[in-house]
Amino acid sequence: MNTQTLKVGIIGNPNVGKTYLFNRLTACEGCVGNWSGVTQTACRGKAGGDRYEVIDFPGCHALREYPQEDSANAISEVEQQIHQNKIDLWLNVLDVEHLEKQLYMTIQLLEAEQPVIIVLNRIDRLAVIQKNIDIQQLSAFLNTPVVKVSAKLGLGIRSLQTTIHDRLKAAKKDLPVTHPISYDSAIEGLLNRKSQSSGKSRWGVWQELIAADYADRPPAWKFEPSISQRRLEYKTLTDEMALTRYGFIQRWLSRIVSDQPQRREAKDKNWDDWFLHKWLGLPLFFTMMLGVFWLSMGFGQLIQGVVEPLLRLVTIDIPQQLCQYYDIPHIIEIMLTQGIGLSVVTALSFFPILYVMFLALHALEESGYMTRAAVVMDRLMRKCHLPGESLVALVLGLGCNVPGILATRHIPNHNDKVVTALMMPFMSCGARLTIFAVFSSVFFPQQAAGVLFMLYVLGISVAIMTGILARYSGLIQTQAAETYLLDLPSYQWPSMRVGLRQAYVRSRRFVTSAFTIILPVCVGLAFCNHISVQGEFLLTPGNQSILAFIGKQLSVIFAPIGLTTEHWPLVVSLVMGLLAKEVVISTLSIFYMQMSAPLQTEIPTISLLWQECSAEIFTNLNAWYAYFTPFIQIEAPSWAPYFNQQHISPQAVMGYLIFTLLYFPCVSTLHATARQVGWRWAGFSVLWSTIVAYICASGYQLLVQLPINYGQAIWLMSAAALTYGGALIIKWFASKRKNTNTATSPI
Amino acid sequence: MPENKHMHIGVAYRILSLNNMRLVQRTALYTRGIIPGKKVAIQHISPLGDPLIITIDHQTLAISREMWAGFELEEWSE
Repeated sequence: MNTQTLKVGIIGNPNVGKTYLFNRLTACEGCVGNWSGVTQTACRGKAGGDRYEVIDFPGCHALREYPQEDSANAISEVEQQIHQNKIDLWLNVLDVEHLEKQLYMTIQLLEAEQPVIIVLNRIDRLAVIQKNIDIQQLSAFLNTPVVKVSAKLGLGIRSLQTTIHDRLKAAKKDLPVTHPISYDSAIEGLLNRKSQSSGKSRWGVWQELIAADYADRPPAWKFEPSISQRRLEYKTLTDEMALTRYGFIQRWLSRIVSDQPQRREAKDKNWDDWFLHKWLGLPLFFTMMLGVFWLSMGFGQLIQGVVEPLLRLVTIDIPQQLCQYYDIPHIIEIMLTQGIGLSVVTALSFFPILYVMFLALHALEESGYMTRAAVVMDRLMRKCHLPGESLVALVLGLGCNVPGILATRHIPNHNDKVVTALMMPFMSCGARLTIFAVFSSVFFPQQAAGVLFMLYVLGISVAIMTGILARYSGLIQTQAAETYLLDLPSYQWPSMRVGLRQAYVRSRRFVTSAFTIILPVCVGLAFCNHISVQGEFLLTPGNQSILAFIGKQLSVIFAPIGLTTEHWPLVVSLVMGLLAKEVVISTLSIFYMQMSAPLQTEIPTISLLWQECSAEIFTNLNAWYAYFTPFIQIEAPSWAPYFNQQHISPQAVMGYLIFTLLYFPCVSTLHATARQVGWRWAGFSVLWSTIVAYICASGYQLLVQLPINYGQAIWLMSAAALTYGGALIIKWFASKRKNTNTATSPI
Repeated sequence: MPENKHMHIGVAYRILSLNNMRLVQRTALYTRGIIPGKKVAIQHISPLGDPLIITIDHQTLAISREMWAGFELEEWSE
């Protein structure tokens, strides 16, 4: 048995099928799609009978494209691995269609003296595009093994596994070192001299030389007359390096590849004539986006209408009945039903909506339309100093902020990424939609659609305002769109089988991660709700519980929003919403369901429970058309009438909804933000969103109560002072950032 | 904003040089196989006027007008 697991890295240009290959080799379920940037972080999986670990790295066009403005992001994950020589074998995946540009990175890998196997993917397409590739010649040119596969169809995988096995058997140092490109003799001489004198590898010296080109400072090779002279022909060494490489690649490819003129572009052009049409492009974009949400909400809720009553029956009603039958202590009954049971219902009831939404989004991504959507909206987003990719991320954020934040990875500019991440928490996610729908159905049954629409518009407006403020306050510097370059994938029909599988994987991931948060919260809440401050068990939760005590204390802070001590369950739900917005409704369910319908002494039989459940399912199915109305319509929950006893005014509810819309993003979003743009920006996002939420919600209260009284006037002044304080914090952030930039900028 | 005079949809151009661009831009183009001597054509202009959709080497790319302005081009002749 090996003491150390060998590492095999998958590397290649974006959208060449790396994750398909990863899934084939490891039997994992990484997300795939027909667009650049599907894989956002390196994924790991065991293969070869656990003998080696396969790492699927995010796609890149070259090992070092150009240094980012943020020095922390200057070195990518792949470059780190190469620099530290951590990977035992690289699988360089090449798509058969655009070999020339892909071989550029292959050459870089070989020059970095890395052990490589070339994986020629999508060989099934060779016949379609009438292309022939001489594998032996390609292997001879690169002096490395070349294996043909179709990762999507599973062709050639066995042969690849054998090659990996053989290659890993050999010690890394025994593998041949290949430098397929010969540069000018003056450069080669300089490389060898510097390599010998400094003890660095040839690749390390090469990078050092090129870095000087970008840093715009006197290059290291300035005093080499033979090299300096070459600037007459090429502007920099980087230019010379790139063009020399391409010269070699083109000469070899003319011998290796024979192909016919392609007709594929004609098909793509026909579709683009529609989707990028001057007048039809924008309406088609909005139709597509509306279609995704209409489908996910309609079909998703229809399925939910069947699944949720069944889940409730199995996880809450039947266990409760059994507990009563076997005379199990109430505290265990509460934990089983209101803790575990309710958390299962809460987490799984999102599954259908998410599943249909991910399925629809997968269809758009796989077809190649998603990238066109970014192109169509690019100019509009540029008005907010953001690229079109930001809009795609923000649209995804409407489903759930977490995938939205993760999708910012394919925004090339770091500053744009930060602005998009700051805007994201204001995009009303599916979980918040449920909260709005429940409250609207109870308090504004006639205007539910209008309230939902208003909240969506408010969220989007605050997001745009945040983007504009971040730019114009100088907090985040704007960079011109001078390096805007986006690969447009070919159109293709989405695979239903892959789509269904991917939607399942994505939804399951979300539900699983949400469940890990919801379960302890529900159990903890159920416990705190049935234990008094004095430590006694309460059969019926009420004012004496620990939670009621906490809620009442905190309600003072929320007084300007319109919540009083009577509304402590709402206050507790807001606090719990920090963990996940899904928890808000489940928290209220626990409070109000138990208050409105305390534990029954006589539980109906299982057959009666089944009858009630099936009746509910049939009612939901009969009202299927209601799910496809433009706006979500959720029936008022059974515990809704209890609100009336709480004397909550509709104004207070609106204040609560506005606060819920805008405040602290959930912990998962916070974690995703920190992962993408760092903890400092994640912390700022939390602070900013909570201040904005507080000001907007209390501002609304003041507006509806005009003219204001003395106390409210004081509050208004406090809010103004708070806003001013917020502005000062932003300015401080901005000046600190400017200072940092000045300190690190090259002389 | 600088504009390239070669803005005709469907007309093939030869890339003469990329030297008017910054190194960062040139590198981004090199990694996509866009080098002097290649044949390039504008296929579409996006609905709001920017970016441009170009085809080069059987690949379709979206590129900003500003970046396109840095291309030195001539009409393609076989």
